[in-house]
Amino acid sequence: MFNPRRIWQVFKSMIRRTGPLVAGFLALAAVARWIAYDGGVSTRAWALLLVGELVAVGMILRLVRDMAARFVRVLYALETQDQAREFLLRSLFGMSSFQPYAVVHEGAVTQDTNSVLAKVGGPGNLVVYRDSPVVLERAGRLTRVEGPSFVQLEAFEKLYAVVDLRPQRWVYKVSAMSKEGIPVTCPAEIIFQLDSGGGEAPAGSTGTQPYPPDLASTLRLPDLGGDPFPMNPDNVFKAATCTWVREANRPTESRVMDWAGRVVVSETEGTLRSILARYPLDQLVGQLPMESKLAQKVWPVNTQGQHAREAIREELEQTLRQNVGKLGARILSVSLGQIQVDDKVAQQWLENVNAEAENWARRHLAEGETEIVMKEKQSEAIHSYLHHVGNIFVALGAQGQVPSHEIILARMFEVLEQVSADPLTRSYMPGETLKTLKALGGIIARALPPAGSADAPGDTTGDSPLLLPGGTSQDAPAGDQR
Amino acid sequence: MLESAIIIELTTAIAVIGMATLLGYLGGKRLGAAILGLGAALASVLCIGGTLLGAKLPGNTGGWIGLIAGMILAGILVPWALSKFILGRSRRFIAGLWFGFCALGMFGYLVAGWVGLVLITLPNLALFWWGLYVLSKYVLPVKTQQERWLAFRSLLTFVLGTNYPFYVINERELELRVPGNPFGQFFAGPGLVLSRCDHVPVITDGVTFKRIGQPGLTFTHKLEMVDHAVDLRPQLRSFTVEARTRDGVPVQVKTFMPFRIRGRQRGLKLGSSFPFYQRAVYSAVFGQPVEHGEKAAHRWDELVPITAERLLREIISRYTCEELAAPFDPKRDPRAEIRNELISTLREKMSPGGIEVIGGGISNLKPDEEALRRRIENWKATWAKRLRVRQAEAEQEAWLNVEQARAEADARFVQHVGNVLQGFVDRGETAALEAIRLRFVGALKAMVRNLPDSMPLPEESVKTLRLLERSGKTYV
Repeated sequence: MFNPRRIWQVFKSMIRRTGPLVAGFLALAAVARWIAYDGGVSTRAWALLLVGELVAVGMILRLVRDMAARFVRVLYALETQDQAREFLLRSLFGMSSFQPYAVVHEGAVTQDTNSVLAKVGGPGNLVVYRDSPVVLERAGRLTRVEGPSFVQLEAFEKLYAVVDLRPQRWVYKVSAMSKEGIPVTCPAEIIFQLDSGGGEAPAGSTGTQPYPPDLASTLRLPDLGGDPFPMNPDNVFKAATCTWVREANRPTESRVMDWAGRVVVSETEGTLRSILARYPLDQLVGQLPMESKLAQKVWPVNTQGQHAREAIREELEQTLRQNVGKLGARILSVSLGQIQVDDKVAQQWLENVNAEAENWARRHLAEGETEIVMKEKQSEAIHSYLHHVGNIFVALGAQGQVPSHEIILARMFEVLEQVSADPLTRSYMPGETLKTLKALGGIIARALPPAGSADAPGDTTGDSPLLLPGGTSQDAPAGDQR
Repeated sequence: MLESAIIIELTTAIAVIGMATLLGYLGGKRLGAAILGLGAALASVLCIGGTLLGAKLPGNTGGWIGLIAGMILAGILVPWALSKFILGRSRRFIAGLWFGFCALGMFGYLVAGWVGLVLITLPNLALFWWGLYVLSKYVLPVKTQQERWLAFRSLLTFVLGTNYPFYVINERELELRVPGNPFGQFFAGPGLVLSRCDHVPVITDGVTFKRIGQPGLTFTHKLEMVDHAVDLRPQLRSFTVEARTRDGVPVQVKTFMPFRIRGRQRGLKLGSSFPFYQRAVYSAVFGQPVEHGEKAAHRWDELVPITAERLLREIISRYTCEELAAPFDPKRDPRAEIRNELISTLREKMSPGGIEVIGGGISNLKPDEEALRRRIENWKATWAKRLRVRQAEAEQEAWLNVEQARAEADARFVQHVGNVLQGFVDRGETAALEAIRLRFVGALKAMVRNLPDSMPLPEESVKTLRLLERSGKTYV
């Protein structure tokens, strides 16, 4: 990247630093010559003298530079002497171009591991994208946190860590044990992000607000046109320095557990394992849908009426929200997958029991559906009533008689009274209805001929003129279970 | 003419011997001053002697020829002699330095005689040393003037090849970048160690402890070498412990232990390195035990797993296999109890060793297959029993629901009839039975009509309803 302005600045710096020196040396040489020859020197001799002195100074400076460059190349294991020379010139006179530079993007740095920036550090540049702030170090000290910008590295300043500000989604299978000590596995999906700490969109952002302000604030929604990844330097610093170092014999990529790994592996795994260990297995593995009250009777729920898995998820989320602050992170969401028994035989057995229990519940659920049952029972009630009333026709018909309308009416009332005599049925009837039935029963009884008289119709049993066979299990209509 | 040349040479020789003595003193104190001073004196003698001998040759240039011969001889003999004292690549460097000086001297003299020597040769010589000093600031991340001086010496001795070793610490690994002899005496050292802000070197002289370095740049001196590179970041070790419960059941448990070298609480901030107490580093490094029969000691970061393993075995041996799960005591969490005891005991044990345990956890306390199988069988039996009880309870409730629905349907039926016939009660004895019957049958028909199509009345009941309707008409 050719930049005339930079080149001019470097040139000025070179002139400022070496110009007086070279001029001084030339002046000294001239003075020496002047004293030695009392000024009687030809122009050619002057020219030769100055060129000779320039060559001498140049050679000395070049020798010094090469000695230092060799030191730099060997100590920092640079690939070429040119890299070392350029590094020294940049350190002395500043940068004549944008190079060397590295791009920090998507939580990683793209640079050659053999570059001067990687091995020695600045002077150089970093192009830091909005999603990946960096922490820098120099001479054994952490120097600064830098967000999205072009960062100019000072001499020996290097990248210490890069932090990814984008939301992170990890699905992690946690092996745990139930309260009884039976191994189970529970996949957990954690979505989290580095906490912007309430970082606001930059001033001057004029994007429209599609959400009500209070809701947008609760959800921490940035303004449209604002920074999608607001950065909190404290949290970036926390995240960059909370790394745990693992065994040296591990593969390189897993040798360090960074902030994201700590949120998931250290915090989530440990917490979820502790929570699961408090639950008996039958609460962990209840699989039926919980929309029915009857199903909830069969399958375990906690005191708040939640299924165990939801309670576990809520507790996990709450604990994580409290704990990950120290890592500079915040939890966006937590969800749990199906909890499974680790033992294959036990899992198979559990699935069979589940299937059986599910069938059972479905069967009973169907019978328990109130509206349908109520209609069925109404139909049954009418059918049962008519069946019992109809017995009079059967009984009298067998004797070759036709029942009079009084007899029929009396029978209709008698059966109605039998129905209303059931204590459970009475509990659903208003007192007014009972009074009406009693009064009407009296009217009908008084209108009928006395029992035993010749007009008394339908006296078939001798006990009660109106009592006809019925209401027994033998002739009850199908489906009448009373 | 010869006399004046010899006087100039003598003057120059005195100046050179003086400068060499000063340089020797800076590089190796008095002995260094003596060695370099004698070397310069020898070179001067050779040059002056050469000039005198050359002057006896015919012609005007004999003195010059003798001087040049003396310079060459000195350039060969003196570096050879000095290299017996100054090790490394000193012979080549001293020879180069000598010939450079001679060339500058001749240039200065030819340009302006003795004035040239003062105003041209001397400043150019100074430029060389000053240039090296200036650049030494840019080859190492120095912070103080003293460090800058050491950087200058490092650069110079690196060129001479008499430096002490240069190390770089990279991810716990100590890498020797520039070999060197830490026992060198004249014009030797210093050495140096470069590290990031999260590592620190431990320096000994091979026999005794010398000091703890600092993160970043540490210079080493005579006899000093780097014994250890200590990582100041929190370390996490995971390992599986095999233990036995009180009732003899083998148990496996994976254990995680984060720890670090003790340092100031909340000490990590911008502008500083990872915090540590020098005494903690010392305790950690020199408390590394050697296993019986082994030569190499355990590293400090291996101590925590070793101690934790022993403690965990001891703690687990106090529990029975059943107690490890404690399924019948809802208030107890044996895993948490074990973990807490392990961490607190380990903290006590590790603290004198300069190690701070900053957390820890254990995974599943997994018994052997047989015990696990027994647990699963027990659970299956309990589970099945509980499921049956729950199913029975639910069945009972379902039955109750159906009964209630039946009773409610009956009640609605009776209530409907009662409501329809309410008017006849008000009329009392005057109510015609036929009218009551007709209304009664009418109410029944209305109820039948309201039944859903999916639940038609059985044929028998429909027939009865027709008979009830017709019987009245027949009678009438």
